Amino acid sequence: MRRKPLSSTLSPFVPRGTREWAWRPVLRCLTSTALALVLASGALPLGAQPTTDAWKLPAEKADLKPGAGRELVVGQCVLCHSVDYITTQPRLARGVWQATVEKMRGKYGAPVPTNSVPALLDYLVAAYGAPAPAK
Amino acid sequence: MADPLSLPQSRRRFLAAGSGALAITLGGLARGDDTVELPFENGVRPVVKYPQKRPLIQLTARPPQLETPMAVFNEGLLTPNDAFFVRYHLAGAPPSRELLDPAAYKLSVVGNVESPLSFSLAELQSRFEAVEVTAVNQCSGNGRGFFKPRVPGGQMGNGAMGCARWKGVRLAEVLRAAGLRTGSRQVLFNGLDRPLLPSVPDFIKALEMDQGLDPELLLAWEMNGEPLPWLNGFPLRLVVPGHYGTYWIKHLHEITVTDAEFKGYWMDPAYRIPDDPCAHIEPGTKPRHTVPITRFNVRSFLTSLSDGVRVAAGAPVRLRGIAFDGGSGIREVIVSDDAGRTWRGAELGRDEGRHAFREWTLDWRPAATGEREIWVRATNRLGQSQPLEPLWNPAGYMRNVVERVRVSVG
Repeated sequence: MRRKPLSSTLSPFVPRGTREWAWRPVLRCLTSTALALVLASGALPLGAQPTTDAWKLPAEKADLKPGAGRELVVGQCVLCHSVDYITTQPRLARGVWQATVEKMRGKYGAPVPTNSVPALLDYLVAAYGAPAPAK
Repeated sequence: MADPLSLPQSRRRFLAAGSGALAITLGGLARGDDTVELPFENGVRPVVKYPQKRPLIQLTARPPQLETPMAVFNEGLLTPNDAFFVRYHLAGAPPSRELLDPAAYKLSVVGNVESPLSFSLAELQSRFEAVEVTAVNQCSGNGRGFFKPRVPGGQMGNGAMGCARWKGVRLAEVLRAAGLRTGSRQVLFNGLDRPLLPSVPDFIKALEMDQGLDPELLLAWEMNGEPLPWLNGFPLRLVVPGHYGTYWIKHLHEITVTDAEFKGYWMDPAYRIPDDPCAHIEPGTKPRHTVPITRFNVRSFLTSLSDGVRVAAGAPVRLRGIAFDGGSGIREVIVSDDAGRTWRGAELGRDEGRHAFREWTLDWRPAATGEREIWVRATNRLGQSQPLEPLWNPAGYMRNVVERVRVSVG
């Protein structure tokens, strides 16, 4: 079977003069509160300009609903994922949100302090939760 | 090949495909802006352009998850690379340009082997025979957004699937070149996408040894005649025909043979299904026993009409769609326009292999005006088919209910 030479197989993937991959700025931000502040302001630094860069991902545009505790999500969840992981969920019951937060802490090692969990859940349920069942 | 920097379709052109084609093009309800609405609660999604991709339905931005508009599946049996779905798990995904530098890239084969090996891509390509397979890849959670009751997780419509022609070398030959030592039990696969935090388990998947030696499994560098797109696993990915995408490790760089069962997070508790022939349990309950998800069940789709479309009464309409299963091949597709009371057999298109999408067509003449539903049901060569009512499991995996498309006749 005919095999393509390596150069022809790979060359389209290494365009000259491309900019740094969009993840690096995120990593740099994580050591400070800059990322949280930028996310809170709704203006993300990632890929702000239209570009044809083959290695550049588009900007994160999803935003969280306002509400008490929103800053906890911004500070503790967006380290590993964009907020659309939250905003695209169906209206989940508090117990399901709790299980999700515990999975993030227990299985993924999300650095969410125990004493922050109730306020985090309060926000998630108020903004993205199902109404509590009638008692 | 075309330079990936100059892929022709802009989002505007894509969205401005003509008002009649608009809803069909987007595979969801077009909303007049750069979003679509998938037909379930909280289903509004942005349509976003990524490198080497046409504008696709964005589920999440970081790590990226993109789904293919249903209309793409009406274009042909092979899903174009620039429309193929994207799914990642870890914060460090997709891997950076530096990590994927072809000059530095190596695939290593280590563990319970006689001689650990390391290959550049060129070495892999020159040492082993290149073979091709046409195969469907599908996300375990494809269609999760339709689950009732809803379950947490990626809320996708049915666009997390695609069929491509993959070219690579047989995994079995590479394993044999390394020499399996006695007691070899599983093969583990790791890609260059990595977690950001050390506490997050790396995305490693395990296959039983007999699966690893199956000559159908490929280490593939090419997809539909082009190098793998960045977001689909460049430069090398595992291709496991008939199996869910969780095993199709992207940016593959490490193969490890083990003499024990791998217990990593992504094998247990993640990506497991109820230990039941249909992988389902009573909605809202928890499974007693679970097993790793493996092969696709049978699915079929009408792709020529989008949900909610209007057709003229009395005029013939050529229905067209696709069907696939976990590797036995499709035997029959039947279609109903009266809620399952009567069914007509569709004509099957060319057989592109038992792992490929199988095309079906049927001439339909809607007689009476009003709202109709087109139901499509496939049966594979093992006699397995699709349930008329959806089956449920808590992870939202393996949806395969008979899909219904609402059509307005008048």
